[in-house]
Amino acid sequence: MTTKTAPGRFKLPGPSRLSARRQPQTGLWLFLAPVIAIVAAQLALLVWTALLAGQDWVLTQSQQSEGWTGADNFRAVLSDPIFWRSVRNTAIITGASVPAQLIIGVGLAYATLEVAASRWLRTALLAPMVIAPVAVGIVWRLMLNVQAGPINNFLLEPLGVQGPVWLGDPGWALVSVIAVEIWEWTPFVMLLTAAGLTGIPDDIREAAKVDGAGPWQRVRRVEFPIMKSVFLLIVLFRTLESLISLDVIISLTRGGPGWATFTLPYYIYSLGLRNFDLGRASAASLLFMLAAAAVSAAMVRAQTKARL
Amino acid sequence: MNRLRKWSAVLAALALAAAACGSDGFEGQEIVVSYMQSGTYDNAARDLVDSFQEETGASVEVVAQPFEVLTQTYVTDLATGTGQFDLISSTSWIADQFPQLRSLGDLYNEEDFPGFIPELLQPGRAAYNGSDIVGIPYAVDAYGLFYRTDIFQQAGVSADWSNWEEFFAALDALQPSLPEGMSPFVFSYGAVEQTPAIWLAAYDSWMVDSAGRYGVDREPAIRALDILARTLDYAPEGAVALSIDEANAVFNSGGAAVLICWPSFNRAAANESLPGQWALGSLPGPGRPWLSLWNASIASTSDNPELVYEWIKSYINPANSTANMAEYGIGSPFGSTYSDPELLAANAHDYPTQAANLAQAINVPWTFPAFEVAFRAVGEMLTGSLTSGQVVDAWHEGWGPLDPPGAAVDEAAALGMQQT
Repeated sequence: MTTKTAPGRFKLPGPSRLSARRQPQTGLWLFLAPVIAIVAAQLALLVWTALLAGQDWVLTQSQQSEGWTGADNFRAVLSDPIFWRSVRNTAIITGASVPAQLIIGVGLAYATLEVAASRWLRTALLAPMVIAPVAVGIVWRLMLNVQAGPINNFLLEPLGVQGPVWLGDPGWALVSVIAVEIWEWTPFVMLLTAAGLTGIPDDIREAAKVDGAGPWQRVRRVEFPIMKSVFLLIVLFRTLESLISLDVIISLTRGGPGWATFTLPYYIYSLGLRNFDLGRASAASLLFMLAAAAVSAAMVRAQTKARL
Repeated sequence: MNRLRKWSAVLAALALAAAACGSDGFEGQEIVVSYMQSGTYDNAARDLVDSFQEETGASVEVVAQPFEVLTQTYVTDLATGTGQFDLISSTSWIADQFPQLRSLGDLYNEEDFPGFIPELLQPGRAAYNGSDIVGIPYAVDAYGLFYRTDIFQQAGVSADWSNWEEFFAALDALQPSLPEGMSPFVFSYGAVEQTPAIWLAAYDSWMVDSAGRYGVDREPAIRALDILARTLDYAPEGAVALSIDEANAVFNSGGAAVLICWPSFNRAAANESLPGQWALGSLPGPGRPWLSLWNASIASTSDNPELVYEWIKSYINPANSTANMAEYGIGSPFGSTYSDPELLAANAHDYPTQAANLAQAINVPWTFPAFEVAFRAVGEMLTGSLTSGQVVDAWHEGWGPLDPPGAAVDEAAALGMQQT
């Protein structure tokens, strides 16, 4: 029996069928190894956090755990009114700022789509996003200063409006944090939306136009459905980012006045890095992670549905 | 002031030379000294490095970090025994780590620090672990009261009060003659972690109960909180949101006749903005002014404690501390600074009262978790969410699960602030 080799085809010399099958597997493992290492490291941290959550360990009192406490840390966190206050504040800030970012960001993306200098305009609009969040908080603190800040003194006063005590009133302090979040992260929404919109083939728009669709109908019936998964991705990113946001709040309000802008990440930070209560901080982190994972899962599911 | 600094350098060099001769020598040894990054304590340390290295043959690394990071770094470093630093700038906020600091008993000699304000070396002020001194104060400040001498004089009001009622009466008397746009009083209410300053000056009872748990005497505590809330009536609109710098700026720009603040934060600015128009006063009683005190401590993990002690002596001595106060505004722990003829001539409106305030001032025996419970609830009160009675309830509820460290309980006992 002779073996025919097709012209131009390379025949592996020598190796048995077994080792030939192994070769691609080796390559596959080389690619998989870093992924496995990363996942393993993440899981290890998660397991370590879960183990810590069941320990009575305050670092300032002891260099090692003082014993297993079961679910006590979870019970302590869940029965702490400050925890629930921080959950409420986090929900308000995220719930108010993300939809606003989406609406304004999409609006800005459309507004700059047909503008001749859209690239320059978008670059300028991106500025808030590239400023360090701590600096953003400090700058806004100065802007919102009642005595000399430009918002009250140069913007509202000439209009005959008595500006509120932005950072000294619990309600207005929350509004201030939401406003700063919107200001800082709307460009991100604009950027992703604009990228998605420019990716829609012109043929589709033209076809809709030929079919008699007006501008609003084209947006609503043609572009939005195509963009649905992009929007969901944006909402997913922004929701998760907003949930873990801490730096702006530390520099803008320090969680105050009182507990008015004290959020869940601030609560965990205080427990872990100021009180050094590793057990409770881990328990609170796990609870936070579960909530964030539930939100993510719901959005990923919605995104998958949107693609189908 | 150059003369002072020169003398300080000469004296420090002599002291170091003597130390080097007397010891086995520190050639080749290395220490890491740590200070708060403020452009003051850390820069004063850097000023010393060259002469110290030259004299001892050792090398010194100065590490500076902002306050919040510094406290976290210290706690992590000391609690885990990492040994990152030889010299720790300790404060009562890390009282739970005082057992991890080296006792200075075998190194400390009172004669090394001649002319110290005696109260500052007592337990409750300097850092102690039980009866062992573990830190020597190098920078001190006491909450004080800046007032406009010209405004008080024009109104014929005396800035002499012994309690809060007299203080409020003075502000009432001042009010009709205040220039337009000037409020009688200002304070950094927006920096809520500062609000205990007024409360502490109005409260004169225990802060740790007889069982060694955090607590306060309910009625006096409520009265003191009401006084704190009442001060807001005299402050400008929106004062509830003012940070330290913003409140200081209100006073310095003529927006208020009285300011309660850390003098070291505003001394230079007030001298520049209101030359000859302000003086330092004392807070009304029956409480006491809040003390800010940085101690030089040696980590128990340090391999070169003798060398660190030499560094401490070169940083903390009358000449260097006086020079540091003049150049950087670092509150000197030496009485001689406040009676230095040259300085006194230029600061008669300030230094004598500062020295008196320092002798009265006390630490709060709270660790940071206890402190956070305290100031957050006060913030709620200032914005109308809680009454003073509810604040005290919130304090007791928040402090319930906390275990005060032994050093904090000792501190309260030493200051007469433990329930008997």
